[in-house]
Amino acid sequence: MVSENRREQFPLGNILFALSLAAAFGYYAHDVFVDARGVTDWLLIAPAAGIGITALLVNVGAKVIDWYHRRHCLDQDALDSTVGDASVLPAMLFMGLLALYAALIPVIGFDLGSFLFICLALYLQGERRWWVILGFSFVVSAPVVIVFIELLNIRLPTLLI
Amino acid sequence: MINVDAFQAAINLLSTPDAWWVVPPGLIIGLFFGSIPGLSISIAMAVFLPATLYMDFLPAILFLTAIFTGGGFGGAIPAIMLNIPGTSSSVATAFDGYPMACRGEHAQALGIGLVGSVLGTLAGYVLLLFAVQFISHWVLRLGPTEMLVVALWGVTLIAILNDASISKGISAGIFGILISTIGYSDAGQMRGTFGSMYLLDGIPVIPGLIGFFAASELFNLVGKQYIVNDSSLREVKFANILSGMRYAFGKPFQLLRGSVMGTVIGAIPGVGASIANLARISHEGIKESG
Repeated sequence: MVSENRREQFPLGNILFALSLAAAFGYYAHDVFVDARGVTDWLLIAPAAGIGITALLVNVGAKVIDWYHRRHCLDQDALDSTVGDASVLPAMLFMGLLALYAALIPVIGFDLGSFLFICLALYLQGERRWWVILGFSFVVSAPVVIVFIELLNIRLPTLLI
Repeated sequence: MINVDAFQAAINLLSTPDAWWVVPPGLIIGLFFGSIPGLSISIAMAVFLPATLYMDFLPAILFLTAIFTGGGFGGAIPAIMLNIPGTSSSVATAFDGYPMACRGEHAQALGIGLVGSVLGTLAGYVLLLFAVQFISHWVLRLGPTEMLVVALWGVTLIAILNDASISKGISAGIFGILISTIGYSDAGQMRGTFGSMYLLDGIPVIPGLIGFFAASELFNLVGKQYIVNDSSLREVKFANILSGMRYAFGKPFQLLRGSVMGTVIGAIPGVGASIANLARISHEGIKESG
């Protein structure tokens, strides 16, 4: 039911994502083209980016047309419904947490960063028992850190180990 | 054709019982490394390569082959259970395996995957045994043009695989192509590195796979308690794995077709199992829709 209501709303997220991706394709192709020393440097990238941008714009157009055809069949109450917001918020928070984790690893280290990330992710998932959060985070993050750094000899920034 | 004398010598070597004790640990290591997203078969081989220094050449080869073979199925485990392919060759397994897991049929999916992996690998080895000489001559004739055609075929397969929208599939394929061009080009041009030295070598396949599959699946799972809602379906019963294996054994022609297709596509350098598994599932999808 949630997904049905959301499908009838204007697909803003889809369109913004597709346009952002198209812009990224264009920026990348332009950057490669400007720095290219010969045709072979951009021969694959520029046409591929062109095809990708075209495909994304077609996708955006199809989404808008689809929404236009559907919106007259809708009940206004369903449009105004914000039922989906409750399920979107945790996912958005988790995305922010993941981005923060990736950004802070060079500063606070892979060991402490992983521990804190798992703690906060568990809290977001609804776990409220502090001993479970701390214990589980330690039990999961410590072996991962040891395996990657000690066994696999992967050079990662660490704070404690 | 095969060199009969060399084949006979190889069979004689394999009849040495002492050489086989390394196979079970090799399979377990391969399973372990293949089933953990982030660890791969190549990492397993790199980590355990020093162990082969203390072995004779036959156990060493058997050990590494066992790691490779175990990892082939190991990648299917997270693909089925978590929708996160452990290796690039198990991407297609996630398409059908994860929906089965969500319905509580994860044990059957594991059984099907196990039989498919074992028989497919066995058939592939046998086919290669008879065709390796011919294929090696043929593969050496492949040039940049043929490789480009195969790569474009791979992108087309992605477009076909996306039932909802071909344009979405094409843009996903192009996205993959553009990501693969990040880093130093063959001509020495630095592309899309944003000044970071970590991107000079480009983005390897496994981290890319994990980023796209694991991260998106994590976002999907936020707020959910379990993948399978019904608690009675959450158990992994050996009987269900066996029923999945029986189901797979009942489809010998599909298994043979997949093995032949995997062997032929897998023999192409630079393409391998990554495209072979997608080609196979798209072929099945086309047959079903037809």
